[in-house]
Amino acid sequence: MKTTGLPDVEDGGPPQYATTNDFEPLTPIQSFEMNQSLLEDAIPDRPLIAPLAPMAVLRAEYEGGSQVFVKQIDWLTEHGYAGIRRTRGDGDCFYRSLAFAWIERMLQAKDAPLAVTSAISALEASQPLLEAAGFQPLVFEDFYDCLVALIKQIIAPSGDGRLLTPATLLEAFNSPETSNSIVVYLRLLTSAQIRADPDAYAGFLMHPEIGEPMELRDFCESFVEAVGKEADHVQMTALTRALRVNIKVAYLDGHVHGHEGNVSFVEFNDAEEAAIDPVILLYRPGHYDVLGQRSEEPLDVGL
Amino acid sequence: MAGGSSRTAVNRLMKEYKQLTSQGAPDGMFTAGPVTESDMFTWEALIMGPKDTPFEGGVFSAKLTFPHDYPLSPFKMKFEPPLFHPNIYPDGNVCISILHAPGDDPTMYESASERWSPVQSVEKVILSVISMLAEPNLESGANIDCCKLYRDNKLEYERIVRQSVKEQLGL
Repeated sequence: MKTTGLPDVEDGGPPQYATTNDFEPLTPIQSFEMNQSLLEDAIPDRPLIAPLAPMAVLRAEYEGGSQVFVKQIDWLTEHGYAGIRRTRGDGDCFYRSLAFAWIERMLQAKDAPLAVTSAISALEASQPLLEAAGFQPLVFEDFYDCLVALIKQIIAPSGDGRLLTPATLLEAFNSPETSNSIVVYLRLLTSAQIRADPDAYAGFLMHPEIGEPMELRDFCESFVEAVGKEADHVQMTALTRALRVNIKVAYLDGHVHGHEGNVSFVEFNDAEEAAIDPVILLYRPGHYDVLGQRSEEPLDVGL
Repeated sequence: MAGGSSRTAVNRLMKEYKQLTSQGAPDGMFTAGPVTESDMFTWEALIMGPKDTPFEGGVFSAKLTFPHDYPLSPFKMKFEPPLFHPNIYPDGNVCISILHAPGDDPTMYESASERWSPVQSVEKVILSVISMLAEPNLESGANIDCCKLYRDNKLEYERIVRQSVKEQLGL
């Protein structure tokens, strides 16, 4: 049969479409576009960091999907992890989660003055490190002051006569100005730590999308100092070292580790005699949140 | 970043302004400061045309517009009146990698060059713009006609620039 007025078409059977393999690496432009749309989706109404939500809420997200995830969530619940505190998926989630959980640990510490003093002394030591990395005090001192003032408020009342509480900490971290200032300081500190010890990091500086080795300076400028760029193992190692803090990251990745449903933890231990318990974060591919233990604060069941 | 006050931005801009007025720019190559003390978010910069370039002898005025979350986000820079240059849009806006945050550039032409981050400053950006005046970057052109002319007939490009500098000085 032939339709008039239309050009001839070679009849080669049903059209052949190139099948897209989901696991094929994306081109830089594809992943850029995908990231942008994910970022924009993530931004509208999510708080920068949310109140602690019970594990059941996280479990409900996976109940129709991967059973390995569900088992891993049950494992965490059985092992005393009561809730998840979500951070916005804006590329700063590791830094924001770590900062929040670190300060929260100081609030919870048996000896809060000791915890605060150790933190402040690590931060004081960080200023010369930043200068040595070539950052002018002008560019970092406002961010530094913001972070230190918040920590000091745990033991010394601020101008309005109030001490920091879990509620005002959450409030501070949802104020973009305070929250992002802290994120930027931690980014600069991470960069300074990497720059100060090139031998320790040089072999691990890979472009996160292309996977090719990068020059240290280029890596630091593009993937550490730049706001919105996710942290990977290198950044995490450097930052925990600079802050002298112990962290444990629970990997909720749907993989089977030994016993199905077990969760493996990656630990970064940089404090010998820690005044605070380790900070615990939850990793799901591409994102970090804070993992809360039992009886830390009333859960936000309402959502 | 919507909402929130801009205390950090004002503090930072005050400090940069103080530092620029107390120390001055290297070799007196430019001056910059808020147009009025009541608005820290709009500055004017006066830039001397760099030596040994067709811009030599000229003084060029640019408006700097700062966002309320500065220095997390970069400022914008616009020459008023516009300059004829491969990396300056015909409306005067400057296109330079240091004023783009990493990730703003899906073509990745600029991936190897310096990008905006809070460690940059007005001074560093203007110094980069001055070196851009001397050495255009044809890979990320903003004025396509000017790029072509620069590539095909550099002498004519230089003549046009010199002519406009003279006109500007009223010669």
